[in-house]
Formats: sequence, C-alpha cells, structure tokens
Amino acid sequence: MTSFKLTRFAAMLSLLSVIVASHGYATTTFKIATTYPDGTEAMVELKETASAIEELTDGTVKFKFYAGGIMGDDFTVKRKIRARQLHGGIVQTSVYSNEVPNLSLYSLPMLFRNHEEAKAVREELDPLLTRELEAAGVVPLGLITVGFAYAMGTKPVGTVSEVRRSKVWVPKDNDGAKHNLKVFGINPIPLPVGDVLTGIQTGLIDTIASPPVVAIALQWHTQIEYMLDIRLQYVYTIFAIDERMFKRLSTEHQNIVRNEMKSALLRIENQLIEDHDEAFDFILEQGVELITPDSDSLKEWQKLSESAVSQWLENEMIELESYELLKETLERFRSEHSP
Amino acid sequence: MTQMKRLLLRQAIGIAMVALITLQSGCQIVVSSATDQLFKDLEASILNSDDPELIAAGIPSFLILIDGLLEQNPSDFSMLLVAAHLKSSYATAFVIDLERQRRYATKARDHALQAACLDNANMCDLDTKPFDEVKLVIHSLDQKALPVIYMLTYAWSSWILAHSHDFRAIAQLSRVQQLVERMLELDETYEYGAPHMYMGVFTSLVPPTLGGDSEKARHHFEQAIAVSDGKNLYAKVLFAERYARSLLDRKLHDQLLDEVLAADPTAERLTLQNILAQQRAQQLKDSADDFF
Repeated sequence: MTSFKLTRFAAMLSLLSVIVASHGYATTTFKIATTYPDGTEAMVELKETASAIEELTDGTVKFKFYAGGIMGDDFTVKRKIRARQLHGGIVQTSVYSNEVPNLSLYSLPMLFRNHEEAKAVREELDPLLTRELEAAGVVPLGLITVGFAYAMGTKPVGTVSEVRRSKVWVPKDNDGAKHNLKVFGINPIPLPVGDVLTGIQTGLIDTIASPPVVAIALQWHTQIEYMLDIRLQYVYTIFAIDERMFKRLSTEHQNIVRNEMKSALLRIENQLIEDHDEAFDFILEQGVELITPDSDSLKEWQKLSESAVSQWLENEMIELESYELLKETLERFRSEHSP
Repeated sequence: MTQMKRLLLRQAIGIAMVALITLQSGCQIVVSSATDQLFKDLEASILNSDDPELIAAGIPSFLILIDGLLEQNPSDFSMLLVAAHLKSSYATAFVIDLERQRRYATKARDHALQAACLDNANMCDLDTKPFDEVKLVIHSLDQKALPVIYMLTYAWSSWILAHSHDFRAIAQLSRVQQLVERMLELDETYEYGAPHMYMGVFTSLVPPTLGGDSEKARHHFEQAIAVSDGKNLYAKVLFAERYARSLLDRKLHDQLLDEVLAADPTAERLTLQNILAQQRAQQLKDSADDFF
C-alpha cells in the first residue's frame, strides 16, 4: 500500500470514528454526587434506573453515583460540576438560586399547608423552573421533596419571641435560610450538618429546623424534646446534570435519560412523602411533645412569613410575576378544596 | 474443609438431633446444661470452619433445631445468645433473598433483646424505652454483661443494616452506638477489637466533607487491627469500605484489601468470618475501578 493510500485509509478511519461518536455510540459516564446514603431505597432506585438506561442505550450511557456525601456538601458538588470533576448531583435547590432565583419560590416560609397544595403548585410551576434551569446550563432531571421542615429542640418554643431567645441552628452556607431567620428577628448559629448532634448535646444550639426524616437519619431525634406544629418550609432537592455533558448524548438518548429518571424520581418522591408523614408520627411516639401554637402566635408567624416574602420580592430574590402565578394557583387550589 | 471435618460436623448435628428428641422425651433439666455445652461447641465449630459453603448448607437444619429447643424452653439464656449469633450471621453472610434476610435478622435481634432482658430486668424493652433511659441502663452495665452487650450489638446492627430502607430501623442506630461505647469502656480488646471496629463504622457514617470526624474513625479502625494483632480481617475490610472509600483514598483502600487477601484467615472463633472477609475484600477490589 502506498503512503497516499495509507493516509486516505487513516483519514477514513478518523471520519468513521467522528460519525460513530456523533451518533451517540461513544460511551458517556455521568458522575453524580448525592448525600443519600448508600443502601437506602432512593439509591437502590437510582442505581436500578441507571442500569435500565445503560441497557436501553446499548451500554453507551452510564451513571456512577457517589453516595453518602463523600464528594462534599452541595456547594462543593456545584464547584466540582463546574470544574468537570463531576457531571451532576442531587443537591438542595438553594445551590442554584443565584442562577435561577425562582427556585426559591417553593422555599418561602409557611407557603404550603400540605403535600397536596405543593403538588398542585408544582404541576403548574415546575415546567417554568425547568425552562429557567435549562437556560442557565443546568439540565434538571427532576425535583424531589423531602417534606416540610419543623422547628424542634430541647426547649418548648411556640412563639416567635421564644424562638428569638433560643440558640437556633442554620446550615452553614444556606443564605436563603439565614435570610428567612433574619426577617423573623432570629440570629442563628451556622454549623455544618455533621456538628449538629454534638451541638445539641453540648448546648451550643437548642433549636433546629428539619424535615422529620432527616432528623431521624442523622439521629437528631434522640436529643429532641419538643416539636412545633408549624410547617415552616417546604424542603426539596434537584437532580441537576451539567448541560455540557448532557449535550453529548443523541436526542434519542437524552429522552431516554429524562424519561427514565423522571419516573424514578417520582417513585422516590412518593416514598419520601409517605415516609415524611410516618416519621412525623414516629418522632411523637418517641415521647417528643408537640407544641401547637395558639391563634395569636400563629398569626404572628404568618405575619412575619408574609414580611419575609415581601422582602424577597423587594430584593428581587424571586420574580413578582412568578410569585403571582404561584399565589393564584395556590388560591385556586384552596378554593376548590376548601371544606 | 477436609472430608473428616465435614463428617464430624454432620455427626455433631446428628447428636444435637438426638438431644432434641431426648429433650422432648421429658428429661429437660438434666439435659439442658449438656445441650448448652453441645450448642456452644457447635457454634464454635461453625465459627472455626474454613468452608463457608458447608456452613451455608448445614446451618439451616441447625437453626431449625435451635428453634425447636427454644420452643421447649424460651427462657434459655445461652441458647438465645447462640440463636442470635447464628441467625444474624446466617442472614448477613448467606441469605441472598432480601425478605428472608430481614426475617432472620429480625429473629436474631429479638433473641438478643430477649436474652438481655433475661440477664437484667433493666435491659428489657431496650428498643422501645425512652432513649435517655436506655443510655442510663447501658452505662450502668459491668464486665459480666459483655457477652450480652456484644451479641446485642452484633444482632441489632445487622438488623439495622438489613432494614436500611426503613427510617424506623435507622432511628435505632443511636441505641446500638450506646452499646458499642459501653463495650469500648469495659474492654476495648473484646472479641478481637470488636468495640473499636464498630466505633470505626459509627464514626464513618458522616463523611468528613459533611463534618464527620475522619481522624477518630481512622483511630478506631487502627486500634481494632492492633488489638487483634491483625487477626481480625473484617476490621480491615470495613476500614477500606467505610473509611477509605468515604475519603476516596484509593491507595489505602487497595493496601488494606491486599493485606486481607494475602493473610492467613485461621484464628480461633474468627476463621469463618475471616474467610467471608476475604470474599468481601475481593468484591471490593473488583468494584474499585467503578467506585473511584
């Protein structure tokens, strides 16, 4: 074979490889971080779905999960995604609230009274959030709630002024939560998640806000004596994929990933909602006293929550138009479902 | 395992069958201490076995036997401990079907809780009484309670592992941790450094990136290896699986697993566990490229 022929042959080979890659036959492995502990049902579900996707894409799309928070807290995960060390994560939504302020909409204090209200609003607004995330270079495979955060601790706090006198924990780096607490006149103590249990044991903090399932997973429930019966905040996470990586997939494979993961996340969320209500009851069964605020206290909590929302709007931390759509949807749902 | 060993084990099970029949004939009190010893010997021969396949095949008939004896005498403290130990090991090491695994792990935990209650009335309802009371009870226990504390820890933590999908099981982790802390205070060398091994696992549950204390975890794993003279191979496997993986420390991970695979697994009451540890080490090595 002459050198001319060899060069042509090599060129054909490289062309062939480009064609193969552009049709999505090259293997893409998504490295995903999450704080879900390995072995939990959520992780089992995600891994099974990843296997299904691998099969449906003839082994060309794979997922590798780093469970249990070993890749760091959610903000570290975001940094690693930017640096392409990771390609996605299941993280708290506040991580992306700078890029997509409307992600904070569902986190407004005392917004939803129950899961049904949240579901009705999300059916209307999730598509909007999805569009805004995609425009910001984030592919959201789904949003997943872990339920509502309740105030709990070692002191019987029922009124806002009682909470103000307490030593309240706030997750380090969670600016949204800090902002809300500030509006309530509460000066919180920032600590990493891993220090909370010792913090309560040593008296460094005496009040936390957490969804019941999270409080149990981290063993905080063993130190809790009181829980305030107010759904302070809807807590949810997002399964986000880096668009740069996602775009490498063919449209067909992108659709497979989206559809399979959407169904999996829905199953995970349904289980988490079921667990949330059972975990709430379970904490009470452990001897924790439920503090029901009287009507005056409740009014004060609601008034301050509304002030917080006003401040979020004034500071343009959320968009007025989107907030109005949310309120309209919520009010419509309430009027249709009022007893 | 040699043919002779297999034969001996089968003969031992046969003798136990005879013991059961004798018991059912009515000579319960006289035979009780003899059967206790027999079952302890059988338990030891299982723990010292170097043939997991044989144990996997032989253990079910042994468990049926124990259940029969416990039905006759549900308050037999020694028998309850043996039952907790073997059912727990069987569930975690040999049962693949998840539902069966959970059933056996539950039976094992219940036997251990019942044994604890028989041993000391204050230890009744350790799984349901308020956590503060549990702490007080556990921290009042002395050296004599070590076998019960150890078996409770073993069976209860295996039960939590088998039920890690259920937050009600996860909620009990702190109770087991109290047991481990007390065991550590009473005798850090107990059962080849088991207290340090368990503490290593507990301390690794929250990764350092979320505020966990990795130095403390490392200390406990290293102590478990040191006090067992390196004989407790499972401590090294857990060190690799729970600690090195959570720190993404591939070098330490591989080094520990290579040591496990190269070691002689023979050690009194540890041989079977060490062989299973070697099998686990191989699985972890095989999956390391995927993990890291």
